[in-house]
Amino acid sequence: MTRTRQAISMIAAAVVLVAAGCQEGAQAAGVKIGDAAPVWSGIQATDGKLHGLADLKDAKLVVLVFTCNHCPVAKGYEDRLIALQKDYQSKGVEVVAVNVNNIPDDRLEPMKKRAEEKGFNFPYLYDATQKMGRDYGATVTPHVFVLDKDRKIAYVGAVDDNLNVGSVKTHFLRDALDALLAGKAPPKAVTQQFGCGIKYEK
Amino acid sequence: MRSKRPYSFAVALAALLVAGCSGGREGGGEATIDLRPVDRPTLDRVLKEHRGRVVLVDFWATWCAPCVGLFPHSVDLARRYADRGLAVITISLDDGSQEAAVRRFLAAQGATPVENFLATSGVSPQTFEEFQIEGGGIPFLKVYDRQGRLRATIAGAYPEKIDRAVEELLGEM
Repeated sequence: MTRTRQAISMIAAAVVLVAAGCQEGAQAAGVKIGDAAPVWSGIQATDGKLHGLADLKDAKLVVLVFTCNHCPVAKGYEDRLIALQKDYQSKGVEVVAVNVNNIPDDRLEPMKKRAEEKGFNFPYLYDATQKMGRDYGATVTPHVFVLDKDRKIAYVGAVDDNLNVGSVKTHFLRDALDALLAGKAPPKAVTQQFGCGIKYEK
Repeated sequence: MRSKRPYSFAVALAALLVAGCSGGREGGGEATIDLRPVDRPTLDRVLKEHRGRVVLVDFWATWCAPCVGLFPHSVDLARRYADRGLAVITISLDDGSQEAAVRRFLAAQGATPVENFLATSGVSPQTFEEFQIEGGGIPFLKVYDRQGRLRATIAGAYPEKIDRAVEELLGEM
């Protein structure tokens, strides 16, 4: 990491540290494999439209990813999500990204900027109420939930097994999607999510 | 908590200033920093060596802003409570490719009263699983009593919770 990046991290640290005071006692119970997927509707996004699960009724599978702007781990997975949408959309899979953090870097305007810079080919939602995060029990960014054709939870966890692309051995999410598209159960339905803790407010 | 925030903020800013100055003489500081690879069996062995002391384990990473902000607090605790029998272990959950950045950070923090480790499995589910970091997020701190039993876990940057857990266990004989 360069010194500039380190300096930026430290400024961010000071900001986040103040924000972290809100995190306490907000751990959501969340969903388990086989549970009906909590519905969302009327959620604003970087494209200026309102989004809901009902909009995706034609999708065979929905990949809901809790992500955000500020987290280096979440950022490390952006390109992989873009590639995933590109590779799987024609197979009937839709990626939906959502941010539920409310720290300054993670608000709608910076989100719009990020979506444009990276050329997100999936909607990037902003749920300032954090309800989606609580409903699903999202704890970190990135945290992935796959909804099957009956909109039941079919996969929960990480995108793959290493932030460092060069060290990835198992593509958990792609393996789960391939299995589900073939009418089978994912080889691993639950994997350990990891990343930056979501800042829940009380 | 509220009253301590300006203090934390000041520490973070101070760290920033220190980090800003360290660039010109990187080599010297880094050489004094001991950074060892760690997996779960290694950690268990290290914990065993510390039997008789209270042990605070701080799981952090250079990519985790709240961890970076909290780090000076762990170093401070190590200094403050060394003579009462506290050992502080820091475990960086960075990718192995970031070792130089981790060393630079530790040197800038003056992280010599603590024992520093770098997780061997990088930023991966395996790392979070093997160290049982529930929820998959850091900062995550574990506090062990003098008998080596895990007595408290703290998820998030809550210095006063850490202080409370450490002080309580230091009071036990």
